[in-house]
Amino acid sequence: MNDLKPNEVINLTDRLQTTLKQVKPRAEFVADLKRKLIRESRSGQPVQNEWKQTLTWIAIGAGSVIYIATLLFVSAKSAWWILSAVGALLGWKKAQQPQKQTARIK
Amino acid sequence: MLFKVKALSEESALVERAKNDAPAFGELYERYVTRIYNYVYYRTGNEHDAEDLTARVFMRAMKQLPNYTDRGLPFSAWLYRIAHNLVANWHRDESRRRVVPLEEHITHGLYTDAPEYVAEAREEERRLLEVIHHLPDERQQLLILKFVDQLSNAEIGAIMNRSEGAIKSLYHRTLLNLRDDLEKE
Repeated sequence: MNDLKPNEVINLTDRLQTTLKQVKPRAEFVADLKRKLIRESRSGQPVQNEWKQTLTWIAIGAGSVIYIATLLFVSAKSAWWILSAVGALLGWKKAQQPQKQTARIK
Repeated sequence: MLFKVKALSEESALVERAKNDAPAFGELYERYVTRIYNYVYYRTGNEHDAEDLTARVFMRAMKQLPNYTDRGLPFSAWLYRIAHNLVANWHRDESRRRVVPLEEHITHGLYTDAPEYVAEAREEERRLLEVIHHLPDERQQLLILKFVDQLSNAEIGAIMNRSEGAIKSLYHRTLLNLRDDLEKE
């Protein structure tokens, strides 16, 4: 392989300079891509945040529902016990009355 | 020298801001879109693929920016690496599908002279572009950075992660390669 002569270097450099010129991308393409990038960068993070927020609200909602349900269950159960106790007491008193009357007749 | 150091640190600050700030990324984009587009355009030889790949370069850069670490190299070196990888994938996929002809319009719009001169000059450019397209990747990159981006050997070295001397020697070998290939045709 022969080394390059000075005139060959000049000739090749000239040809490269004429051929490899900067081309301008279409202005429409540049603007569209910028809009797309900004939209993408903005939509990326808020979407994650939105998901986090939604999950937080779902957790809070589910927690509240479980809490209220437990409270209702506990209070209903207590009410049931109280009513049962009252009912049992009344039933016992009623059962006692006919026995007393029979004893008097005798 | 001092100016370059200042410019690099200013760029690093902008890159750091761009990690969390869309307008800062927009600024980086505007700074480099033409250079990346030109690189891809000369590597693919057509406008359509150049636009598609340029868009992919910046989309990928935006997604990977949070993982970017400043190693004292220009930010463009990182962008060129992304572009280089995407172009390499594109060439691999294209070679599986078809042989890509150099698009006519790559040499359009430069002439205002007589038609016969225009035709001859176009033919010369087409031949040279074809020879350039057959050079190894790094030599193509060197020519694009040198003639399209008009960068110095030191700047090209920073982008290609080589010393200035290595770039000079690579350029010399590239010219030899070009001369021999043009003579062969």
